[in-house]
Amino acid sequence: MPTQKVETKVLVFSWIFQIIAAIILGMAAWDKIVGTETSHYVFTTLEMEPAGRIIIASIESLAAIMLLSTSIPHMGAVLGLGVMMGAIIAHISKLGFDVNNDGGKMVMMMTVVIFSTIAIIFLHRSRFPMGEKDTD
Amino acid sequence: MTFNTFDTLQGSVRINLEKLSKVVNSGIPLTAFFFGILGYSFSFYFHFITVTFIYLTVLNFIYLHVQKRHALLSNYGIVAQMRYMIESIGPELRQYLFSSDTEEKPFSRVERNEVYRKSKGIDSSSAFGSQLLFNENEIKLRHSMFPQSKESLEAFSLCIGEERGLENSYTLKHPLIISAMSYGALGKNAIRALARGAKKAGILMNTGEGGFPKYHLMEDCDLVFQIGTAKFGVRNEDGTLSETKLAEIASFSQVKVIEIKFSQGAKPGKGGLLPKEKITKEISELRGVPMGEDIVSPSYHPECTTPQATVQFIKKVQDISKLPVGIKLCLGLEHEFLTLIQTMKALDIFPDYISIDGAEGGTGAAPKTFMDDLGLPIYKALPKVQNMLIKEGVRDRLKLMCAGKMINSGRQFMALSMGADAIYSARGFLLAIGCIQALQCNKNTCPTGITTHDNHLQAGLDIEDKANRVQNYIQSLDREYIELIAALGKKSLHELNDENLFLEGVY
Repeated sequence: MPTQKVETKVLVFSWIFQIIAAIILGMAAWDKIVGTETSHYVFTTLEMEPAGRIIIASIESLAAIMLLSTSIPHMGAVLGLGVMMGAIIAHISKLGFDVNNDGGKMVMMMTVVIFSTIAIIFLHRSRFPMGEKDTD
Repeated sequence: MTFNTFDTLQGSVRINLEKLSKVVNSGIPLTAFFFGILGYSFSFYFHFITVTFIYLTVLNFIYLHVQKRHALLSNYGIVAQMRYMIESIGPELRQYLFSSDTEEKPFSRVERNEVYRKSKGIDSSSAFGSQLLFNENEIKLRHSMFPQSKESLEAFSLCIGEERGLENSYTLKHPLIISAMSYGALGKNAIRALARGAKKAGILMNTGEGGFPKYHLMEDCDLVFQIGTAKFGVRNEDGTLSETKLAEIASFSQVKVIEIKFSQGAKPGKGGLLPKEKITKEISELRGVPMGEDIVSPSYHPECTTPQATVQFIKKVQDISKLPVGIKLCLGLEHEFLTLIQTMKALDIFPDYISIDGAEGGTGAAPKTFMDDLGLPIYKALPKVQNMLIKEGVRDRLKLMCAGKMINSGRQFMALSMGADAIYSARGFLLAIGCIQALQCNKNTCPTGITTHDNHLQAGLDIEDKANRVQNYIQSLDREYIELIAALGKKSLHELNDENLFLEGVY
């Protein structure tokens, strides 16, 4: 896979987003694993309780770990953004924006992660294959 | 004409890639939408697929409308990636499945298998007939009607430096020498495996132009220290020869011979090249060069601008090192080489050997044109050099060696019959230690861990096991030498001459 070196300045900038996204994703995963009241409510509404809750929690933790790695943060961002897309669909179609009277806190967190992961993907865009083939 | 109801169903089925790409390009967002509806209506789990296809839609949009570098991706979208994906594994597919046994270059599977079998010490007989083409360009060895008995054969022995009456002359016990491969071109495990194998087999090994031969020295085998045009290891700041450093290297008990490299068969007229991917911190220190840029050696020695200066330089190295000193070059302009020989004769200074590198020789990295189109191939160059030396009456003043795809005994015997005294081979030994001809020597990605400094890749190269392969390779070659010498009706390798060769119109 063609990977190009990302500049150090860009890397430092990217790490800020990586840490923010990883913390939020990690916390979200933890809430789902211990089964807080809100997460029970969310996944019952989506009719995914309990399997879906555990699956999403696993994906979120994996994304958080990948985001904190040096070699594959961009793939972690892709995974994290994927979960967030599912979350957008859930909020639009089933949950609404004021989940369990939290005053939009969950949606706000989601927006922060979406923004961070898109930023990470953009900063690391040279590491994604665009069809470059190995020329010799 | 009778009307057939099924006429319309008889057309042939073809894959139209352009139409396929259009179907895929519109199909991806539609699939995302479709699963979105399923997810909304039936189960939220369908949205796993929805999200995947949303990603594919975005990616495809970028390919089609954002990126400008690849026309194929712009025109066909994600389907065009199939081309790049399949193309990227083309070399492997060709080698595994589609190339015939005699087709691959530089070494066909038939040639490589021969070395693999020798290095594993297993039976190397083949069945039914030769895989090679027999045409008018074919060069063959002539056998004798009256073969020698194997008991009467004499052992090989070649003293380098005897012409000068050198105290530190070196006696070769085996005609095959491991050719110049530096630490840098090869990884440390490969170097150590070769060096340990050389020690076990009792053969000589060339260090290549890689600076101080740290890893070559580790295994205590006999070494030829090579001075390249950049003089790594024996270099002053300005690129000239450092006498103290040369004396220091020559004082190592393992270093038996010094070789001055003027040019290399794979890139004659051009200095050595080490791609930046392969320059580690250690290599940059051993060679005294910066990291992060390709190491391009100068194309000539700054001291050697005229035949006289060249001969004086050889003399200087001989005087400092007090060891046998040879030169290595690929034959280019013949009159220049002749002038060099005549200058040697006039000044009465000769190198202890001349090694002629054929243009078919190998390299870790070289520009394609230099590899393909420059320099004389060994079977053309060697007879010319031999004739020039004989004509000038100096053939007995030095030894003649040669290199260039000398991986099997047949080719080696042809070279010996053309006048060579000993043979250099590099790739023969690489194949022996497990090279699969992946052709990635210049990328630091060698899958067998030979021409790479990647620790993960090198981990698979077991030094002891591969050293045994080198030893097996030499022992198997020895057995074949005995058979061949006897079949040619000679008593030793020294007796081989051009009467043993057949080439239409030449021999």
